[in-house]
Parts: sequence; structure tokens; C-alpha cells
Amino acid sequence: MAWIYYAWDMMGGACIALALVHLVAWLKRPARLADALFAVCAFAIAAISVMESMTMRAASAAQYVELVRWSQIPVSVLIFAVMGFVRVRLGAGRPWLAYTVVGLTAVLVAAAFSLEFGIHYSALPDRELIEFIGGTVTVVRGPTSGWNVLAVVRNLVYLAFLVDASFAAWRRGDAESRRRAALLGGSIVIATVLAAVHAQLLFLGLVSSPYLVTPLCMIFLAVMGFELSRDLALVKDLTDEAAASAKQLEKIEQRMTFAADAAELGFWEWHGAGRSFWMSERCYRLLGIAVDSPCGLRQVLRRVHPEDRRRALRSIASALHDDGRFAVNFRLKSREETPRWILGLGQGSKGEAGGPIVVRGILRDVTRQVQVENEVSARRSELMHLSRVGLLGELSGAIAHELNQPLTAILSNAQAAQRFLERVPCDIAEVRDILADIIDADRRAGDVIGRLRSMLKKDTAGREPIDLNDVVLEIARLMRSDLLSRHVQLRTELATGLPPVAADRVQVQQVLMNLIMNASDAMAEMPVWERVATVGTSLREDGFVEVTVTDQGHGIKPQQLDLIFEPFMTTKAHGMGVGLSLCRTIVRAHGGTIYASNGPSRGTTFRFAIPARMEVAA
Amino acid sequence: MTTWPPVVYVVDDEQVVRRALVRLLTAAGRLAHAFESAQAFLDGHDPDVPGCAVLDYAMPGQNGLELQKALAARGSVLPIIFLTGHGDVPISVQAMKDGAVDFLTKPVDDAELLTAIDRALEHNREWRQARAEQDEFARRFRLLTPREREVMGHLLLGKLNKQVAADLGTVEKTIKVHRTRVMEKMQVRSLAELARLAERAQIGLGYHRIERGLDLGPISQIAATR
Repeated sequence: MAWIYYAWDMMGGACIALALVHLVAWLKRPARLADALFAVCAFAIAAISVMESMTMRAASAAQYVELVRWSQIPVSVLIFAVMGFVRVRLGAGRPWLAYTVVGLTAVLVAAAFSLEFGIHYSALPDRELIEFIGGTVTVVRGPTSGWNVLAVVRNLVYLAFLVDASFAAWRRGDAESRRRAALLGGSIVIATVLAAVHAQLLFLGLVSSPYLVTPLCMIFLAVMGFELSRDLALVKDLTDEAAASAKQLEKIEQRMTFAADAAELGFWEWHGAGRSFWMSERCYRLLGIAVDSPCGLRQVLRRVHPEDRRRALRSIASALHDDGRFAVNFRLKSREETPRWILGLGQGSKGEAGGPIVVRGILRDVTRQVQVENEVSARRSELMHLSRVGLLGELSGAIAHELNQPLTAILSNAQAAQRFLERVPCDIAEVRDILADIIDADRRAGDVIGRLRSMLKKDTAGREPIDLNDVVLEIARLMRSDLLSRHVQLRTELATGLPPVAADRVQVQQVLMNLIMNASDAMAEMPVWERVATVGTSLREDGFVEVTVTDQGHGIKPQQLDLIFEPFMTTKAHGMGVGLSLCRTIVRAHGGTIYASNGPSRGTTFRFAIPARMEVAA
Repeated sequence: MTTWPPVVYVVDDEQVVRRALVRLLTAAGRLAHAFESAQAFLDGHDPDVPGCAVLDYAMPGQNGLELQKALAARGSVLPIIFLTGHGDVPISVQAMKDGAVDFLTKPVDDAELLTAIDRALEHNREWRQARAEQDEFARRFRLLTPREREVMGHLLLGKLNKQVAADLGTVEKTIKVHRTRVMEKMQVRSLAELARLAERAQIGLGYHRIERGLDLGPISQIAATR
């Protein structure tokens, strides 16, 4: 046997081997359609090679024609598979061209099987034996059929599809797709052109050789295989990478878990779609829920202290609506005396294009912090109280005077009344006036005592809407005698129609008292007629109500202006340096500001401002 | 000397206190007059009317102590009672040093206040009487000639006519004439009466000599040597 047969058989075998490899690859990953199409191509070429090999050994012209007829089927399959492969690999190719090819092929196949001598020959050709590459092969020569034209047309359309797809892929883009378009499109087009031209030449009897479809197809099959195996290599790389990043991810997750454990953080996540809720093991433990028991937002809220539940829910709801962050401190329901405090932080985020909301967050046990904060705040309020007591101590003489005046009026009026009553006739009208005065004076004394009591109390009443003008007048009244004895004249410049501010009355009184006392101290060395302190109120444009206290003293050294609000910073010989720092603490707690500035030539102005709007108490 | 009834001046910046005190004093049969500030009092009261002042310490403008000083500067003889809420020791010491007759703390009992007021009024009455005597003594004294004043000085030292004559370088007879003139002008019958009158006048005149422009000459020297 001539080795040309071996060549064809080997090519057929190679095709089958390749086809099987890719078939297996495709079965493993059905999503990779290219593998399947490649396998089909390879099988088709294998079939073609078998048929070509058989035509070479055909015993008669009739057998030859029969084999050519049947070879239409693998050729058609090959054409379809190649078009599919091109479409999948290059992502290009006009469907209508492909459908035209399919339609023409169907017609050609139908014609091949219905015509007596197939589509290529109009009559039985003559059989010849020729020498071809070291072997004797059968060829035929005979009259050609008109159907050949249709085959040529089909082949041209097929070529058009291939060329169009290659150009489209080339135009589209990047270096990789260009390379692929050139290699794949180019090889297929060239092989197809050669095979088709050679076949036509055969039919026309212009050349004398066996069919060479198989070796030509082997060219692009090799290219297709190269493409796919290149992909396989890439996939291998990707798989390695994926494995590496999975490892990395695992590491990161380990680190995250470690960090979360170290920071005692529990994670949770709530998905708006399906209302599913997930939380980490620590969350379960923090909330005191059995780990891995079915748990939703409802179960979590059930663990929250009833008094804090509404607040917590409102806070989370705000994240849902405003797509924002939230932070809420809440207590856990507990039978213990000291409840545990949990800090919940979270942020809602809308999915893409307004999709369902996801809220993610953390939980943390902040009992210790809350305790410390409470302790600090208790200490601070104690310090405030002590400072207030100290202030009132400094004012004690003046306050005694404030009380003495009405008491004097009461006693003297009462004793006058006794004397009037002893007279005959007794002057009832006079006694009535006296009693009215006594009642007035008594009320006034009561007011002083009430004010003192509220300022001496440890716990202040808390925030309520107050008129700062009222506070100014009250303090002016309380400090009147003290200022008198220091020869300080207190002027008030109060704006009318001030909105109320949400403030702790006693604390604001304390601030004002401190500032007026400082103003009065600052002028102790001035001549008597220059000792004027002015208290003014005004509504600022930003909605803050501002109170200013201005003295006519020597002012504060510029380098000390920023320091005077620091604790234990004092410019006085006997000062402790807590007054102004407490003033700042109080004003800041009210969401306000306080600062001092020197006048153009002399004097210092302290101004503090508190927002006028009612704020929701934290 | 006039016979106006004495007036109690109440100076306090607080109306309710003023009203109560005036009422009490009126009910107790005293004539009371109230002022709301030191300045109002300084401007509004008649210094020649007998009386006393009840002053608050803490007041806008001048305080009680400053009012007391202003009154002293004007030569007022009104006795001053402090009535104040401050039981402040330094203030009370200063007030008493400056001549206040009493220092009461608010609220004050009526008996205590009235006692203090009566004592002050009595003080003022005596004071005015003494000053009236001094004025009379001074008026008579101004009638004496320098020589007669000189003779009177020597007589008040208890010298005999003969000794005076020797001291002044004259004869006893001349001294006798001067002595008779002195007795007439000073409206006394005996030397003992003159001595008593001079002594009483001396008590108060020490304070008022300067502002009244009186020069008693030897009498002050006499007082100084005694």
C-alpha cells in the first residue's frame, strides 16, 4: 500500500483523537461550546478523510460518484461547525449569511441525493488511475453539472461570512482579538478557498488529483486546536490564580475574624430582598441568643430593652430610608441590675439601580464605656455643682441681702400693723396695704430661696425651652447687691422677641453668673465710675441666641485668649481655673459656642451662643 | 432756737423697705421721711432740722459709708444709724469710726430700732443744745476787747487781780475795771459761772472752731494747758 493512504488515515486518526479530547473537555464544561464545535469539525474532517481515502481506492466511477455524494454530509457538517466556531470564538458573523449558507447547503445536499450522478457530474465520468505522491489513486473525469454553480455560490457566501466575521473581529479591537481574527479567520479562509478552488478544478477536469480537502482542513483545524489549547492554558492560569486568590481570601477572612474577635465586634447583614438576616457567631453570643438558632431582625429586637426598642428601630429605619449610616446605643433586656449596653453601627446601601437595600453593620458590647462615660458625666456634674456652690458662696453676702430686704419689709410692716391695730380707731385701709406689701415681700423672698435651691441642687432639671432674657434678668437680680458692693454698674441690652432655646436653666445661669463675676473681678482695680459691665442678648442670623458679657477692664493678654477656657488656667490670684472651663463644657453640651475677645481699646467681651431650635435630646 | 419736731430720715434704695420703715416709724409716732438714694437725701433734706438718719449700706451710686462721709464733709451733725443686711465687721468698724451712733442688721426689731432712733435723737438734741450754748458764748465773747479777753484768760487760770495786774504790767485797779466789763459782757455773776460756761463751750467748740471761723485765742491755749 502507498504511504499516501497512511497519510490520510493518520490525518483521520489525528482528527478523531483531537475530536475525542475536545469532546471530553466539552462534557466536563458544557458551557464551553467552542470545544463541542471543534470536536464536530474534527469528526467531520475525519469523516471527510475516510471518504477521500476511499475515493482514491474506488474500484469504479459509480462508486466514486457515490462516495462524493455521501461526502456532502460531512462537508456540510464541517461548514456549519466552522461557522458556529467562528461565531463563538470571534464573536462576529452575520446570521443572515450563515442562514443563507445553511439554506444553500440544504438544497445542495437534497440535490446531491436526488440527482443520479450527484451535483458535480451530469453523466457518469470516466475512471482513471494516476500516480500521486508515491501511490496509485483513482480519479474521474466527466461532464460537469450546472449544480456546480450553486455549490460555488454557497462557497462564496460561506467565504463572505468568514471574511466578514474576521474583519468585524479585527475592527472591534484589542490586540488579542485581532490576533485571533487574523489567525483563525485567515487560516480558515485560505484553506476554504484552496479546497474549493481545487475541487472546482477537479470537477472541471483542469487538474488531475485526488481530493485534498482533508490536508487543507487540517491546516485550520490545527489553528483552531492551537486557539483552544491556548485557551486551556489560559484557563489553567486562571484556575491557578483563582486558587491563589481563594487562599488569599481565606487568609484575609482569617485576619478579619481575628481582628473582629480582638475588637469584640460582631457582624450582621440584613437584605431587603427576601428580608433575610445573617449575623456572626459573636452577635449571637452578644445578644444572648443560642448560636445558629433561626434568627431574624424580630428576634434581635426582642432581646433589646423595651425602653430602647423604639429608639433602636427608628435608628435602623433611618438607614433604610435615608440610605445612610446609623449608630445607636441600646441596653439588652436583662434581669440583672446593671444591663449590658450594646453599640449598633450600620450602613444601608441600595443595590445597583435602586435595587433592594442591604444594611450591614456591627454590634459591640460597650457596657464598660457607658459605665465610664456615666462616671465621667457624674463627676462633671458634681464638679459643676461644686463650682456653682462656690459661686453662690462668693455671692452669699449679696444673697443674704436679697433675703434680708424682703424680711426687713415683712417684719417692719408686721410690727407697724400691730401698732396701727392698737390705735383707736384702727386704720383698716392702712393695715390692708401693709398686708399686701407683706405678701409681696414674702413672695420675693420665696423666689430667692427657690432660685437658690435650684442652683444648689445636685441634679439640674434638664433641658426645657427658656428665654435667655429671663435668665439675664434673674441673674442680674441675684447679683445686684454683690455688684453694688463692688461698685459695678450692670447694664442690660436685651433684644426683644428672642426665640426660646432648649437649655438647662440652672446651667445657663451658672455660665452667666461666672461671666458677670469675671467681668466684675476684671474691673476691681478700675476707678469706681468706670466699672460698667454690660450684658446683651441678640438673635444671630444662623439661628443662635447670643449672650455677651462685656467689661471695661484691662483685657486679656492675646496669647491667653485661647487658653482661658482650659481647665486650671487662671489669671486671678485666687482663681481655681475651673469656672470658664465649666462654662465651655456647659455651652458645648448645649450645642453652642463660647469665646472671648478684647475690645479695640480696652475691656473683654465673652460671648456664648446656643441654638434656638429645639433639638431632640440625645 | 427753733422747736421743730425731729425727723427720722430713712435712706434705702428699695421701695418696699422704705415704705415698711416709714410706716413703722409713723405708727410709733415718729416723723419719718424716706429717700431712695444718697444723692436724693443730700439734695433733699434740711440740715437745720433736728433728727437722725437711718442708712442702708448697699445702694446704687454712693453707698452708706460714702454718704456718711459726704454728710460729715458738709458739717452735718445728724446722728447716723446703719441699718444693713451685711453683718460685715469691717464695714461696721468703719462706720463706727466715722461716727455712726449705731449699727443694726436687717431685719430689725421695732423696739431695737426705736431705741436706737430715740437715743440718736436725744444725742442730736443735746448736741444742738450744746452748740447753741457755744454759739451764745462765742457771740458774747466777740463783744470783748482784746485786753478784756486777755484778762479773762488770766482770770480763768485762777489768778488774783493783783497777779494779773503784775503779769500784764498794770495796776490792780485797771484789772478790776476790765474784770467788771468781762462779767457784764459775758453775762455772768461770778468767776465760777464764767469758768463753767467756758468749759462747756470748749467741749464742742473744739470741733467747730475752724469751720465757724472762731478764734478763741487764749481759751484754746488754756484748754490745752489744763
